[in-house]
Amino acid sequence: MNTELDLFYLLKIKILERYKEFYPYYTGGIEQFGNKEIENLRDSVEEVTGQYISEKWVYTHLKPKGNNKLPRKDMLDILSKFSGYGNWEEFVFKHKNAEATPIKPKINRKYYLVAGVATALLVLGLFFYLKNKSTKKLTVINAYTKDTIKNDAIKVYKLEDSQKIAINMPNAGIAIDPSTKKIFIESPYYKAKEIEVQQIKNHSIELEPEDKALLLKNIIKNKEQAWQKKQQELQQLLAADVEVIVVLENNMGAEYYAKEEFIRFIIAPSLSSQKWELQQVQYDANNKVKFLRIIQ
Amino acid sequence: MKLNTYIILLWSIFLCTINAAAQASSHSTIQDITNISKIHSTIALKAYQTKGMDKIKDLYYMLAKWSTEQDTAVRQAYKENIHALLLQDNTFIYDVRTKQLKKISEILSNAATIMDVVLKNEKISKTTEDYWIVQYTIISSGTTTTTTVEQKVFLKNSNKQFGATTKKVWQLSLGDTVIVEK
Repeated sequence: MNTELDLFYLLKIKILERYKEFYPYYTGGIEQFGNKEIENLRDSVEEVTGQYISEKWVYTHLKPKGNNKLPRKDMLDILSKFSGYGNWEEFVFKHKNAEATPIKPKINRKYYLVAGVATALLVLGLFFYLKNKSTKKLTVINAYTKDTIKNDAIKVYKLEDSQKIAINMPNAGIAIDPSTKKIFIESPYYKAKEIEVQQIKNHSIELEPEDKALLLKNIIKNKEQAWQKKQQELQQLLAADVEVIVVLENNMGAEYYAKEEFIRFIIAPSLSSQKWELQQVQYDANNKVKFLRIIQ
Repeated sequence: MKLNTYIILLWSIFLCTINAAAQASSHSTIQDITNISKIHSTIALKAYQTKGMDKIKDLYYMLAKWSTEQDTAVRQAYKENIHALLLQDNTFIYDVRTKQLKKISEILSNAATIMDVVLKNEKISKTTEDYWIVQYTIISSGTTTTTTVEQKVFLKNSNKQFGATTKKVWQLSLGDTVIVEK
């Protein structure tokens, strides 16, 4: 059974049919009515019913594809009369059990799509806002120079039930969730540190540098340094039985270098050795480097 | 000594001999395993093969560097690094200058400049017990000349000296090159 609003949509069809009796060349729908068609309709209504409808009323109630509420009863009477019925009651009586009207506005998919996307974005935005708000952001700095230590030089773990869970650090600094109680930071260039989150002051963690590892990094990376200097410093830094391993992709296997061979590949670098990055440095009792783990 | 005692004694000697033989056999089996495809997982072997290709690129790079290096000591270091990449001192390498195969010792005895090269179309054509064959195309820098070659890359488990310590480690070495297409 049709609702009154359905019946109003049906009335719109009847109005259009009647309009076309006056203006048979018009091929559009009511929603496409322009100023000229509205003027014509008002004239025709006046001619048939002797009543008057305003331009604004046509714009408000007839032109829209969808209507939120039923127009005033006196206006419905006028238009029912224009369409060949005595009044709105007669129109309703004759059509209340008819099939649902074909011009009942279809769901505007584009509208719902845009609304859906906007809602999703809003929810996502809210989610990330709340997440960021509850996430603690920390900066790691060199204890002596107070310079910020870049993320690629450190690895940070959440310590939970004696497990080390790596914390992803896609951006600058460390972002830890509120449930984190203790973290562990390790680096080839700085002394490892375990710290309770509550003890962190001013959102920054200080790490003490491993001077030898930083020196080693500089020797490996500095293309300007004279080879004699590199050789001299490496001879001093490295233990005679140092074991250098360059791990292969996915940590599947490794290449091994002894002391003199390693020094040679720093002095006269290959394409591969130019990409070397320290990953782990171990020292012997004499504080000489006894193990180097390198990634390429 | 009773007969039973002799039998028990002989039986014990027999069992000990069998056990020792089995242990020796087991020990030699471990040492004799050289088939790299059986020892390494596919992913690990792939990692070594990728590294092998890096070593080939390192070889041509360092040959060019060696040929233009002015400092005698650094030039010597490049020479030793080049030798360190190769299986033997008489390994045959493609000589970019003459576009022929030559022993590395011959190449390093010629002081003429070696041009940079670009290596393309690398593919593994065959994997055997302790080496695989890489096919690649060499394009000399600044030219359109291309040469396709095949080179053996060995992966061997051998002793390596770290100061006073000796360890058995897997080592990659480049072997002989052959020209496939000029």
